[in-house]
Amino acid sequence: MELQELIYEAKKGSQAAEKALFYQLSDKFLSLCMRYVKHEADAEERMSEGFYKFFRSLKSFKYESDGALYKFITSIMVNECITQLRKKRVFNIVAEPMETDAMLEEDVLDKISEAEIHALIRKLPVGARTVFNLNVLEGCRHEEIGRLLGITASASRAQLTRARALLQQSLSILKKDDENQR
Amino acid sequence: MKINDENSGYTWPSRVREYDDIPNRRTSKEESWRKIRERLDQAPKRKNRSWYWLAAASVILFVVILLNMPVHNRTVRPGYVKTPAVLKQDNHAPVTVDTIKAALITPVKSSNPGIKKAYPVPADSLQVAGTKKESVVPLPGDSLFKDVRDTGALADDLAQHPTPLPKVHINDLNNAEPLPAHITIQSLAVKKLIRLFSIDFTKEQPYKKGARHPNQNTIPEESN
Repeated sequence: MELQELIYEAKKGSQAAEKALFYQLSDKFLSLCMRYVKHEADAEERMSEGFYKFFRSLKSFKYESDGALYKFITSIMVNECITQLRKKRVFNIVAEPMETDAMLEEDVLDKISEAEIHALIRKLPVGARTVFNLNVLEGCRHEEIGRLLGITASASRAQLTRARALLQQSLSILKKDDENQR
Repeated sequence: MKINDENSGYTWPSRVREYDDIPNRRTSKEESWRKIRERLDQAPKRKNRSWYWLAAASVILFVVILLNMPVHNRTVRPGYVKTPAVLKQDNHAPVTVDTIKAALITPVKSSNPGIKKAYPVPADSLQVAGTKKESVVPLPGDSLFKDVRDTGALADDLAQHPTPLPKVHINDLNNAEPLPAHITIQSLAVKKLIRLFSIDFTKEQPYKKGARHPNQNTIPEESN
């Protein structure tokens, strides 16, 4: 059954359609939550909370396309994760001047699997990880990120530079390991 | 480091966004769904609020109608005989110049004992605009008409004994007193409502001096 039909049935109150939607989308959004929240249990909790809110607001949701649906649920999940992180007061970020302007070899990232990239992102510290996720993967501007996290835009830029540098370091280590194995 | 040849057509951010392979889930999907379902079932369903809005609108409408409704005192003067209200004098003959002349030339004794003579108005000075059949011009014998003819004598009397007119504030007209500062339109509206509800329509209220009956279409007679 396609997403559009499931949404239509779920809006009419079909519990089976709601369940099918959850089964179809939960892995994808659990993966998203795990990119923001490090602990898997917390990520699952955020994902469940996000789906609960999604089903509660389903009647007011108007289906336009699969992309719009993904975007809608993504915004709910991201908000859930950020709210959780802000509650834990992890965003006491101060803009740190980076010694070198790190360049991320994106062509190397294109060559490795998404599972490895996912794992590399999860290894980043919370501030850098959140800013990287929001800017590079969700497409938010630094001003928006600043508003979301309660930091300045320049602090957000600094965190992104830091995230790129750390990712580049991790990629270099991976590259060396790979060469050693050969 | 694994080389990903399968997804070479996609950029790495889009591949990460689409990534949904969670190898070791701590909680099964069934368990997660059961928890969500329980919460959804427990959540209070949104009530249909249209009835509340409808009820509120009805109450507002009722209050607005009440506030715009004319309030009568229903006071009855002792010995007052209700005169039938004349709405339209269709039964009269059409008013012509001759009927008006006849009415004006006939001297009528004034009802006011202070006025000795009545001066008829010269009929030639009057001009009748039209002679419509539906005219509501009062005919001779009507009290209103009588008073109109008395005005000449009254003016003459006033000229002989001039009395300065009392200065009346505009707010004193029709017995209206100027509003004190603490009385607002809202408080007046509430007062009006209370007054309306406090009237017992089954009983006739005692006459208050100075109050005018709503059906009173004649000038009240002065007590001698």
